[in-house]
Amino acid sequence: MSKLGQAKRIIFLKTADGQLFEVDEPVAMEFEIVKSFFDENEDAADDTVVPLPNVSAEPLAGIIEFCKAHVEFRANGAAGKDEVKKFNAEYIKEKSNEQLKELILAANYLNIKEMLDFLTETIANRLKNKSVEYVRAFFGIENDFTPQEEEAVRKEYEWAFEGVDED
Amino acid sequence: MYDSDPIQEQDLFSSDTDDCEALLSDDEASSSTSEVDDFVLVSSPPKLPPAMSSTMSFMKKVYKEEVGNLADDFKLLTVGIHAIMLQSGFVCFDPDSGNKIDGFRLPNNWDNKYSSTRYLCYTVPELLDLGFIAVERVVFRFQNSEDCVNIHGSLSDKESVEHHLILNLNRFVIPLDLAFVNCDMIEARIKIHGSSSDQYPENEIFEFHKLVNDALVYPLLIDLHERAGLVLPPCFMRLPVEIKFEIVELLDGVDIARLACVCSELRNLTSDDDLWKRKFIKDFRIFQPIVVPPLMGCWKKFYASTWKVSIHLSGFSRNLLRRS
Repeated sequence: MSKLGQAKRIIFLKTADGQLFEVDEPVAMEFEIVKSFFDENEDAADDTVVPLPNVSAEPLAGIIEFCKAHVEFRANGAAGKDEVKKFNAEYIKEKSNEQLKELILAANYLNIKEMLDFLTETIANRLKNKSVEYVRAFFGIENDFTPQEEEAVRKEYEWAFEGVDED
Repeated sequence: MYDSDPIQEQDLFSSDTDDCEALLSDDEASSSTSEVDDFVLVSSPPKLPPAMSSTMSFMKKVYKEEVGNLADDFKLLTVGIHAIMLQSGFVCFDPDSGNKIDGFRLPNNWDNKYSSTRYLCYTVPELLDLGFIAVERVVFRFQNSEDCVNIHGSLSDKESVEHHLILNLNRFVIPLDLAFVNCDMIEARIKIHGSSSDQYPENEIFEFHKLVNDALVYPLLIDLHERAGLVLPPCFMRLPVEIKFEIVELLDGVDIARLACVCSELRNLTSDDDLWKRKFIKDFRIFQPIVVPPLMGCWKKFYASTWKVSIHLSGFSRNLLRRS
């Protein structure tokens, strides 16, 4: 408990849309990009604002929520337990596909391994047993095949088109 | 020092953390003991889950412009959808004049029609700037029935795909009203009931926001961008290739095969023969001792033929064969 007397360090993060976030140091250090920013600028003042030009406020808020919870889980020795799974399931339940995309882009930029692993798994789960059209619509992917190419690729994989979930 | 026994933790903190407790409300101290040590919240806890709060304040602004104009439940719900459209970058415009509706308002003549079907037109600013009246647009058709609103949205031409959503008025009207119109009522409710999440209309607003986005807003945004030849909004394909690989690795062969038909990049990404070898080993492990491994470069075909064999077996035995 020796740390108790110390003031807690706050890290300032500024998003692409100009919002300023104040984040507790252990949470901010989950972001590799922030960690290496301070490793490279050891003498950075305490009130240095770390610019995050590729992340906007909404996904960042979601990421902070996730990392904060996970930092706490680790401190409690709860990592890997049911409590964590429950939190993750609840956390992702309320995210639309679009939000999920934004989160994964942001988590990738910020370089947060644990969150990225969780999000890739979530995306994989959402791709399971879905039609080609669903995947295009919900992940915003443009169909760039010529009709001939599309026919060829579908023929090659025709074995996979049984019992697809259309919604 | 962190023991998994919660009672011990409580004891530990009550005796040891006097100087820290002042920072916490009673609520926080009892609900999450770990925050006491290193992770005290910077400010008081937000009333909303953080990712949603910017959406909530945006929606509130939109409702504010229509306040006094919210004659009925149908309109209340419509303004909610309108707000989500605007937030996603759509602009509302008058199809007759081609003029953008300024601010967050709905068009003036919107609910003058004595019909149960009403229309709204949206486009994106890039297209409106071109100055054509016949601009590519998204048309929403609202049909009001007893306790539901049925919303159809599509591009204006007849061939385009129609997306629809049915919203239950009973479910969403009260949360929308409490969150955005009669906001003082919600504050009163919180005072009475405390901050239990059940008392928040936000949970239903989440659901509303998610339903509208997934069923209407994003598919329409994609349709409109494709039709008009604009660059698509930020998407999955912008992820670095390593992450796409990671996602593909997590899928079963059958899902990878469908993914290959989505676009050329995914086709190329999924054509790696080693990937199919790994998938064969994972999905058809039990076949391994009894098959002759194919030549390098033929695993994809080999996977497909094994799949076909396995699909002819009954569902029961297939489940046994495939490692679930």
